[in-house]
Amino acid sequence: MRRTFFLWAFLRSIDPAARVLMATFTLLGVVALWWILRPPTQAWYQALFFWRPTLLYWALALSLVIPPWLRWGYPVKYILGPHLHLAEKEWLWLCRIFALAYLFLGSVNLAFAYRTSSGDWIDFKDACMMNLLFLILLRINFVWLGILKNVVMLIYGVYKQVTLRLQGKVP
Amino acid sequence: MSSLSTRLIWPGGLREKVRLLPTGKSGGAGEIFHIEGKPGYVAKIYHASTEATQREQYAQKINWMIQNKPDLPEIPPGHESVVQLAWPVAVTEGAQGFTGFVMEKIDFSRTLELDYLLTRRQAAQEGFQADFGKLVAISYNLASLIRCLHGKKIAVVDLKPMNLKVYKEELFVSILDCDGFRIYADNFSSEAPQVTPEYLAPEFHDKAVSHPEAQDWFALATIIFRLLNFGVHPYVGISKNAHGVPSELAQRIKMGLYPYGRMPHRTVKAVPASVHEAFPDNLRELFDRSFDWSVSGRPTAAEWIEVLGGYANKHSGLIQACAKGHLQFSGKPCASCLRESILHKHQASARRNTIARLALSPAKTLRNVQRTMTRVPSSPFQAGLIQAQAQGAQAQVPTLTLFVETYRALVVEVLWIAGLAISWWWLK
Repeated sequence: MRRTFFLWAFLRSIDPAARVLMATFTLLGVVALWWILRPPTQAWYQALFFWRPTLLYWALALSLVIPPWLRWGYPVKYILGPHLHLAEKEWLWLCRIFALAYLFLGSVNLAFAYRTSSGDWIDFKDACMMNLLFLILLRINFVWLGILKNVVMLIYGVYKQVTLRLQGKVP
Repeated sequence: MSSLSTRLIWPGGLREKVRLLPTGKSGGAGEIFHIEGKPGYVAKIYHASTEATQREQYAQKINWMIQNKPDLPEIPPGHESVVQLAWPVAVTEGAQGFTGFVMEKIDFSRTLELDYLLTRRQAAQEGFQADFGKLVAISYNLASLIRCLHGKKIAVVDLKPMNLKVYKEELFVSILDCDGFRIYADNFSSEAPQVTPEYLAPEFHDKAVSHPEAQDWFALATIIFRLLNFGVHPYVGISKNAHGVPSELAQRIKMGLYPYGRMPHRTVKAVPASVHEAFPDNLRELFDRSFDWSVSGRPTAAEWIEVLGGYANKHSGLIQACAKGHLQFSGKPCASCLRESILHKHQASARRNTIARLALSPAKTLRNVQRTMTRVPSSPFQAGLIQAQAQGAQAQVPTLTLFVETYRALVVEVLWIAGLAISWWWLK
């Protein structure tokens, strides 16, 4: 009961746009787990195999379009990270641009899957992976390094306090 | 305007040629002048641009007023110099006839605007230490003045603190701008179109004031309420529901949103700074009858005099000193102590809120501190706020901020990485 309350309080404290993104990824994660733990039949596997990137992109496109439309915020903020300081209007446009890009990539995936050879389709998917790499690089540069610095400072602060206590300089 | 010569015509026909010297005070209708050789009087000369028909109406009204001066409340011996009304006593004439009138001069050095009494600190700055004894006496004197005017079929209509002066020593009230009064006598009538929405009775909003006495009773009750309640207007309140209430006082008056009644209002509640609970029951009854639509019969000036008279009388024992030396209504909690405790609680709660905010949003605090270092705040209030936050921030920021910020960032990044892993699976 108490845990449910804390979970509810935690979810309430999150921006609705982030909640939509979390819900989308939870759904995608559950489907992925289902696929891994209980593999589908051969027919289903073949049908969904080519659609997987498209489903991801279109689901993301939807989760980027709906919250701004309902005035719930801009999910793209959470994809790019807190290092960008943009005006609300700029976030809105960024949301729209990302949604269009995902819609386009989802369609291109289908074109590559059904109109080109398997090798080309795999190349396209590798190129899409590069997008993820680009996001990771942004994150490392602007977010993770800052967090690492904070962690180091915290550890150093704790170390300093422990040392002072051991030396008897702090009661 | 430089000095000018004019002719004074006193009642009885005595004519006198005088020189007028500018005072620098000018209003919408005219300009005020000193009269050379007559220090006890000033002249109001209507602007030259005043239309002939309007000037004629002014002339008729002023002549009627000179002939019909109301019997004012008695002034005790030794205080005869107190002027309770800037009433016309003579007419001024130029080459084209009527130009204005002469009135008794109110000594501004001995008086202060009643508006200042609504804030105790402002009154103290003007050299007036307000207490409930003095405020009740001022209210009583104002009600007496209004009753005298009504007795002569004259109403102020635009009765508001800015038009009232209070003698600091004698506590008598003077009303300015008498030529704007409404006259509804049997032999003469004159309109008074000027009104102030914050003091206008609900039934006259968007309408002409058809019952000028009722309007004066409403404005009188509003002024007395504000005087006794540290300036809180009777229609200022806090909405009880999510729909809110109009922000303009005029709209609140129209809707009857009076939250200080003995019966709680359905949609608004009193502001925390109000001390109306410390008013005696008979005063509260009069306020309820003045402002609450559900209670009928707005009290007249005479009723106010009857109730306030008891409290204004030092020997009645209805007002006594509290343990701290403030004057209070007998049998009720001390309004001044109540006010002090409200303010103290408010300050303590504001301090607690600031600390809570610091703990909850250390990043915001840091930004404020950084702003203090890099730029000058736009207002003294912001500067004070930032200084207060900075003091707290020095104690909190190094440990709490860093830990909370890092913890939050880590949680977000873990979720982000989980999302990335899911994306990777769908793309592979």
